This record gives sequence, structure tokens and C-alpha cells, in this order.
Amino acid sequence: MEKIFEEFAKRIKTTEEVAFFLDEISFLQKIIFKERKVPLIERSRGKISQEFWKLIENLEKENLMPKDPEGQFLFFEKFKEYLKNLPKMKIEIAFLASDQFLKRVTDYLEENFGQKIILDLTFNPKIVAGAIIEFSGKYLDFSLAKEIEKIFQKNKHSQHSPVGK
Amino acid sequence: MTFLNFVLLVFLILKRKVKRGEGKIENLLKNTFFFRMTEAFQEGLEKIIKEEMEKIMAKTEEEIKKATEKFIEDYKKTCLGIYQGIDISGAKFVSEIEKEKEKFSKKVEEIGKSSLKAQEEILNFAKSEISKLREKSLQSQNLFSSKIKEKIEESSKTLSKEFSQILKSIAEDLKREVAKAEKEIENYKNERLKEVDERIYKMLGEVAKKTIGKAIDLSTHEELVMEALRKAKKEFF
Repeated sequence: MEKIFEEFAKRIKTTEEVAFFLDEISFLQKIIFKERKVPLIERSRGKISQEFWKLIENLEKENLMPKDPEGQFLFFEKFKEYLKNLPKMKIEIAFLASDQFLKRVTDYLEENFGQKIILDLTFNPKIVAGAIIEFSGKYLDFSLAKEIEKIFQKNKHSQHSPVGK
Repeated sequence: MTFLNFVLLVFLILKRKVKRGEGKIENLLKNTFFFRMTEAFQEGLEKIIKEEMEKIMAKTEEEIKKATEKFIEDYKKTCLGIYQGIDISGAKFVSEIEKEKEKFSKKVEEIGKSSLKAQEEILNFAKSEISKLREKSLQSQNLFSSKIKEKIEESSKTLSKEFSQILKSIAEDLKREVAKAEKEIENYKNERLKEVDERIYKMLGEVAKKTIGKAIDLSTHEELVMEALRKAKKEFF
């Protein structure tokens, strides 16, 4: 089950996407106990995203998902737990990143941090460029705005120092 | 009492009255305090004294006259009683009476003259005392004004000294306050300049950020983010 979740999580990059899929799972949990004779895949067609529907279809075809509604409910409950517990990294950037770039970032993180990390992305043009990162209780400012401020502070102090005069 | 004795008594009474008048004037002058007398006042005083003396003299003459007439009347009556008994001695007595009467009139004349003399003496005395008073008041007035002048000079010296001291201390205080104010102004100026500098640098920073931000392309942005992640990795591991 864990592997199924991991496999699915590969396509999730941001906290918005996590929230989206959590909503879809909650929806499925609502319809599980209705019209039991109709397969879940049929009940959910057109009502959830194509991506998630394909996942459910594959899970049913490969018998990786329980057939009884109670079992299915539990399955989705665990899935929800897994998604909620994925580590999150807050990252502030100064531009609107493309999906491709976000994939590049999450792949880099998985490769170098040894785990799947979800991005809590914030768009803030004031940082000029670079990124401000918050992860595991640490706050790291690698923005260009900070570098510019450093330069001006340095120049200001050198102006007012007696040596500078 | 004989006629002569009576006349003497009257003369003595008159003299005593004059002396009493003199004494009164002396006492008056002794107990009077010094003041400036004008000529008009002096004249008025002399006039008053003269008038009073004339009144006293007139009154005294009147009394003497009355007493004399009464005495003569009584004497005549007595004498007439005696004359009826003794004619010769009475005629002789009458002639003696006439002689005595003459003598009495002369004496009254003399008394009148001496009282006039006394009146003149009193007037002269009053005049001299008044002029003495005037002199004394002038002297004391001069002394008083010279003392006042001295005091004024002394006080003005003291005042000017004190005043200059006060001025000096005020000037010192002012100097201190001015220095304090200048220092405060200097500090305020420096603080404001510092504030202005900081604001300028802040504004320059903001402008630089905006300018640079607009100049950076997408790929540079992406590279800078990747660079940040690489730095972050070093921080975590």
C-alpha cells in the first residue's frame, strides 16, 4: 500500500496539489457506501480528476484496492494520512514557476534530501531573485534582495567611518 | 494802706504781668521744634504779639483807673467826715491829697511809660528769637540735605556694584545655556542627518531591487533558485 501511495505521490509537487487530491479522496469516501453494486470506478467517472480516476481504475484492475466499501474507505483513509504527512518545504520565489521547473525542484529535493518533499510555494517579487527557504525549523534567506541590502549597508558604513572620510 | 503803697502794689503787679509774658515767650521758644519761617509768618507773629500787649496794657490801665477812682471816692468820703470836724487841718489835708494825687498821676504816667518800654522790649526780644529760629532751621535744613546727598551717593555706589554683579551672573548663565542649546542642536542635526542617510540608502536599495528584478529573465531566476537549494542542502547536511 505504501508503494502505491509513493508511486502516486511522485506526481504531486505542491501543497495545493495535496489539498486537491485530499478533496478528491474525501469525495470518493462519501460515495463509497452508495450504490454498492456499481463499481467505484463507474460511480466516480467524470466526478474526479482524470489523473486520480486513472489511478483508481488501475488499482481496481490490478486488485490492489479492497473490493468491499469498508476496506476501500480504510484504504482512502490511509492514503489521506500519507499525503498529509508528507514533509513540506516553504519556499519563496520572485517569479511564477512552471510545472516543469517545479518538477525539477522536487526531483532535486528527493534526490538530495532522501525523501519526497512537497513545496509550500509563495510568490514574492520583493525578494528580487533567488529563494527564501524554510524547512525543518530552519529559515534560510538566499534572496537577491538580501544581497543588495548587504551591499548598501556596507557602503553606508564605509561612508560614515572616520577611515572612509 | 497808704496811697503810695497802693500805687507801688499796682506797679509790681504790672511788672509781674510783663515778666510773666516774657517767660511765656521764652518757654514757648524753648519748647518749639525747629521749622522754616517765612517773612510773612514773622510779621504775623510780631503783629499778634503787639496786639496782645496792647490789650494787656489797656486792660491794666483800666483796672488801675477804676481802682484809683474808687480809692479816691472812699478817701474823699472819709475825708469829708473828718473835714466837718476840723476845717484847717481839712484844708491842709485836701492840699496834701491834691499833691498826692499829682504824684499818683505822675506815677501812673511813669508806669504807662515803663509798660510801653516793656512792650517794646518784648517785641524786640521776640524779633531776635524769631530770627535766631530762622537761622537754626536753615542750618538744620542744610545739614539734612547734605546728609541725604551723602546717603544717595552711597546707595547708588552700592546699587551699581550689585547691579554689575547681577549682570555678570546673568551673562554667565546665558553663556552656559547657549552652549547647551548649541550642543543639543548639533546632536539633533547629526541624528537627523543619520536618519536621512538611512532613508536614502533604503530608497536606493529599493530602487536597485526593482531595477534588477525587472532585468532578470526566467532562466536566471530558475538558476538562482537552484543555487539557493544547493546552499540550503549544505545548511541541512
